[in-house]
Amino acid sequence: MQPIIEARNLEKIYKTRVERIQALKGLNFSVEKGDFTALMGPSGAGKTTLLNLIGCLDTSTAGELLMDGRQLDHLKEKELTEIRRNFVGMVFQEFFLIETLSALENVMLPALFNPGKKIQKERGAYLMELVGLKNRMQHLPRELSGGEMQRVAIARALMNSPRIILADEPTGNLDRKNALNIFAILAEINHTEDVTVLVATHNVKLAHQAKNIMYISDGLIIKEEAVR
Amino acid sequence: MRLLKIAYKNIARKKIRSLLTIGGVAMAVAVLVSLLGFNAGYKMALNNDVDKMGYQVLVTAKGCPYEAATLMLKGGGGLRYMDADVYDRIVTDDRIDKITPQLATVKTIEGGGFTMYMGIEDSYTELKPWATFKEGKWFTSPEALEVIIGYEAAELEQRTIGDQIFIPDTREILTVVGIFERTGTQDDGVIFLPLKTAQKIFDLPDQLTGIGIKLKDLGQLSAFEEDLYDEGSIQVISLAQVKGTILNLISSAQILVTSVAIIAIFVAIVGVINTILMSVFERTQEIGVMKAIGAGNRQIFQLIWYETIIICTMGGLLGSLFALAGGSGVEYFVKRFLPFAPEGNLIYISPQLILFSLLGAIALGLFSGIYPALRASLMKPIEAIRSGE
Ligand SMILES: Nc1ncnc2c1ncn2[C@@H]1O[C@H](COP(=O)(O)OP(=O)(O)OP(=O)(O)O)[C@@H](O)[C@H]1O
Ligand SMILES: [Mg+2]
Repeated sequence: MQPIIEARNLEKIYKTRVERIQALKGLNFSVEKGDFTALMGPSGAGKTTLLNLIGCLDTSTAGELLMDGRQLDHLKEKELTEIRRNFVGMVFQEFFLIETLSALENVMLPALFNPGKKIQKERGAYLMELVGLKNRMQHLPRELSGGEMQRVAIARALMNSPRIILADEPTGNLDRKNALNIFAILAEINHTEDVTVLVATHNVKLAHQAKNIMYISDGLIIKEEAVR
Repeated sequence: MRLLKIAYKNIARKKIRSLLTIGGVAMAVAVLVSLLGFNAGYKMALNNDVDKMGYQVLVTAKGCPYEAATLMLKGGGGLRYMDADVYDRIVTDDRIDKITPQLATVKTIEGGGFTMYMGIEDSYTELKPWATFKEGKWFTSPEALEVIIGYEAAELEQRTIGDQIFIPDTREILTVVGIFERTGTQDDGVIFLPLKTAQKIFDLPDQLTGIGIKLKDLGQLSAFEEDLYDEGSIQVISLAQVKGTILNLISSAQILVTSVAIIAIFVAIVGVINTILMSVFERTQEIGVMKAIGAGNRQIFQLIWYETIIICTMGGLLGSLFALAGGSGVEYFVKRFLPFAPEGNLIYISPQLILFSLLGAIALGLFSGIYPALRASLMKPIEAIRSGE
């Protein structure tokens, strides 16, 4: 079966005014459809860099990155937008909800940006229910707790029925209980929504909620293991 | 939910800033609408005034200057007189449809102001068919010691039929036999008496100040005028000329106001661009997030563009309201500065004008939104998201 994500000698070099920083030094790995993979590694290892490449927020410097067999390197902005819109759902540590919109509106926003899709309120409501926030639909982000905001963000990431959810330290700003809850939701959507999940985390215990763990250090994948 | 709603919510997020910007646009639109409204209104009022003179050509004594002719229409001084036999010579011209001789005199009233007395003949009413009686009737004879009073003059002096009025500098007392209905022209302020009576009591035998003429065919106007140039002692003023002179007089004032309007619009544009650009920069991270969840460049462009259009449309609506509400105030102000103010409303704000200025405001929004919207849409998602750190 074709992997949903495949990297071949993937490199990313950041050029700043003073130096070139090689954040990714030739990664090789693949993520299979339906996987729930935790990405672990020390600070500065390149986790965010990798997720941004897969999420089409940034482009690689060398090597190849394939999504469902399609090469992402050298794509034009328009094609990148297309992939962000239809293939991936992003979840950030800082939640990044739109503060003027209600929770439900935030969830439905990706559909608004997707001309190919009808904006389905039912799906928005369904996803809010899925993350356990049925009674918080009309709340503004500032009227929600951190854990609730992150659940809204996950629902939002699912709105356009993406193939992959990319979550960059989604529990970094949450306490232990909320963090466990978020991972439980990720596990659930991996199962029920038929979506591949790739989540970066520092927390070993949380990482073991996933099906596989991929260790990254200093821009290289150093180990991959299946949980249990 | 639509982009427009998100755009609106963004504007509502910073209320004071948005209101100030909308206010700027409103000011510009109000100035523009008032100006254009004045343009339309003044021309209409002037046309109405001049058309209601009832004649197309006014023959006056030579040296009665243009402005004096204007003032005469209005009721000022500086009048010159001509011999009545000019009338006898002209009256036979078969291009003439209607003709009426007049003798105007102006008497100052104690405590400022003046009253115009106008000697007229029966033919006067033929040229002014709308001059109907509110009360009373026409003079009993061509030499009667009687007056007919214009509507406003009657109101002002509280005259009714049968009143005796004393004319300054004369020894005569005249009886009011009629009061004209309101015509909306300068005639409303005039006291009329029979021509012969006027010549006698003002001691101006066989003298006239003007001859009003209406031609059978307006196309003959210039030929007719030329023929009259042969008459040495008179000058011919077509009312089209008077109109032109008056419009010239106010055009310099218009240039000034127009430049003010242009400056106001320019300031409004800069204000809108500044506000939207500021809000785009403040929302860089949010724009990055929108892109991360699937917004394309075009959609971001649209979103920001909508915001400027909403601001400008609101400004346009508000400005039109200001102009409508403040029109009478502006009119009062403007009237004191004009060389010649016709009767009636000087500012005419038509629905078309409102529509035009609204479309103008929207165009302003479309224009000033381009740059900020472009800046927002071309932001790189990853850099935009990181900008918050
Ligand atoms: N925009 C950038 N410009 C220059 N260098 C960068 C940029 N972003 C990241 N880096 C560098 O690239 C390397 C990898 O950074 P990255 O953010 O991917 O690490 P990370 O694994 O996500 O770390 P953390 O766990 O702290 O989030 C780091 O050395 C970082 O300093
Ligand atoms: Mg990181």
